[in-house]
Amino acid sequence: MKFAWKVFLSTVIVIAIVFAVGGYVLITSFFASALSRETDRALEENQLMKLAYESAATTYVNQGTKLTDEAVVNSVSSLENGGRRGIIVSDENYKKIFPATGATADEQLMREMDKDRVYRISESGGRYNITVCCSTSVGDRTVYLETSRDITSIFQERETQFDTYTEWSIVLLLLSALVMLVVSMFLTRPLTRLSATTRRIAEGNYDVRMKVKGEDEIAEFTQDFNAMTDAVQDKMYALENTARQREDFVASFAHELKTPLTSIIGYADMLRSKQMKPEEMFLSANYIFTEGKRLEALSLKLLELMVLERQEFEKRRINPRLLIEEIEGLMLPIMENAGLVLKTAAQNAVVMIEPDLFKTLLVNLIDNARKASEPGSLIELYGRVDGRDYVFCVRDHGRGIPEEEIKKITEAFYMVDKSRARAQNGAGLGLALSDKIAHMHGSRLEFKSIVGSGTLVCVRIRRAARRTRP
Amino acid sequence: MINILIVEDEQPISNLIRVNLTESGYSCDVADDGMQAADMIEQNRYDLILLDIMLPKVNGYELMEYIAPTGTPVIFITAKNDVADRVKGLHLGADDYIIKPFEIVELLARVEAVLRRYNKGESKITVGDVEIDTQSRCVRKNGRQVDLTMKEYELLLLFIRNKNIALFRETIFERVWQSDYLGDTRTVDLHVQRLRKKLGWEKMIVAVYKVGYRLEC
Repeated sequence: MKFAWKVFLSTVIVIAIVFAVGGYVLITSFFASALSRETDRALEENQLMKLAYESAATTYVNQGTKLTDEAVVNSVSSLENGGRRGIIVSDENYKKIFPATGATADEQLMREMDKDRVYRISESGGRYNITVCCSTSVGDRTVYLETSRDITSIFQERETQFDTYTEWSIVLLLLSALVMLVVSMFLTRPLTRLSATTRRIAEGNYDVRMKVKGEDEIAEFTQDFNAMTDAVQDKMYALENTARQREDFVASFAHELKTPLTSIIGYADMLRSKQMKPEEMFLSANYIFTEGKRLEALSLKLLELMVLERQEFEKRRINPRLLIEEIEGLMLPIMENAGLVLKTAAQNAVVMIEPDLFKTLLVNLIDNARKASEPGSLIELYGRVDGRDYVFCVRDHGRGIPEEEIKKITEAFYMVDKSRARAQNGAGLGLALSDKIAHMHGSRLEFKSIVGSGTLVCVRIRRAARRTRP
Repeated sequence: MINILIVEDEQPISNLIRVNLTESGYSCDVADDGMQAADMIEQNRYDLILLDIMLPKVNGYELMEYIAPTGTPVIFITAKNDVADRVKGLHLGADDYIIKPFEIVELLARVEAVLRRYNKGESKITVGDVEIDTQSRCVRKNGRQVDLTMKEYELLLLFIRNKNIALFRETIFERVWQSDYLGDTRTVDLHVQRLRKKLGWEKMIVAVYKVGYRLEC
């Protein structure tokens, strides 16, 4: 069942119950008060009759007349007012004295008499009467004086009220049902729209958003819903991106692998199946050798990258100055060979790093700097304390990196200048590797570069807390 | 002379292709990137273009869109060997593709096949005293017709298209019989014997020790 229908039906049922119970209580209380009013009147009337009878009877007694049945009848008959009061007089044996004909006295009521006055409401033939009975003693005679009063009208009035009320409440109920129908539809419309939106999103329209209206729970929910869709969309794009990167990686890898293989297989095929001149043979063999070397470099770097992803590595407390000095010792001969000047400077500190991996990172950066530099230019490696961090920097004065390339240079197999990278046996994996190592130390490579004047690469890591000595 | 443009940014590979095609009697130009290739296509007329996909500046697919209107046949050279890439290349109007790494025999065969499809290959080939008409599949020696079986004819074409190249028995089997070589050398040897005898080429088709045969001329 639809939510709108649930709201509608439950409201209508509640309204119906409220109408019914409220109306019943109201009408019943009207009736009760009318009845008690009539009862009071009847009692009062009876009292009046009693007093009238007593005064008439007392006159008889004072005149010295014995109070016979006839005297009693005389005393009463003047009060009868044409039978409208329904006076019935009985003697102490419950035998009716007056009127001679007509209604019988209510003997039961007389027997029940324990106070000086009782009453009963009775129904006969659709007419309702209230009968009041009292006993009175004048002289030596006790009689029961019974008066009755027609109260059919208040019962009829109650019936009429019930009927009218029922009619009106049905009309009102229908009216309110109509209103509720509209209201419930209106209230649940945002939900309908929400579900329509959800369906569209499920169909793949991830850009669809709900309009937020007002400040109620539904508006809040809509906001949350939109936030959720945003998050899902972001996540999805991230996943797509990862998938795309992986695809790119596989494609690049295939290309990088197959390019040297094509040369190796091709030239080897030529060597084995053709008669070639010695210089051609030398050229072919040389191609096989250099391409084989390239394949070797690629596979080694790739292996490092793979190992890095699996390896459990242990960080140690280390003074970065010692690390930088060690790298200087390692790189100086290579740099001198390439005709470059390497300068290092380092401040003392303590950092938590995996020294071998970090060495690989810095050596890679210096190697890249070397490849970018012309002979005679300066390459700097320095480490300094910066607040709570320690920053390793490699600066060169080489060709620089165009700004739009900087984002991509840490992607595996990405090469800014492909032919140059090839000539230097680059596989396009060095920075990918370095970036991975930086990530493992909770950092990343930061590049600042100006085309034509040089590049600055920095890695910022948190310094280790001072060890408390025992 | 048939002109072939090789568009390949890897110098070792472009050199490999160039050397082999030149030896087979084609004239070759080499372009290192897409831009250069586009310039060269504009200036010269080529009978066939060998096109690498991953190129600097303008990639192979983009270049293909530039080449397609000229109607020049194209063979893709690609390292990507998934179906989607191959289909994309063919959809763009390439005539064939070669997947890296490739063997020289395969390269020559595909070049040959595409040229033949465009009727650009020579329909009459003359080797020594033997003349072959590839359209009527007719072989004449000194003007006298020589009857060859289907396989012998294919074998002859293979030798002629790979002059001075030692053909391995497995290569011969795969090319001529179009199925995987299962180590049965007898079939190949038998057909080579019969071809030698029919053409009188006992000295021209040389057995290469432990390898196979080579047509020397």
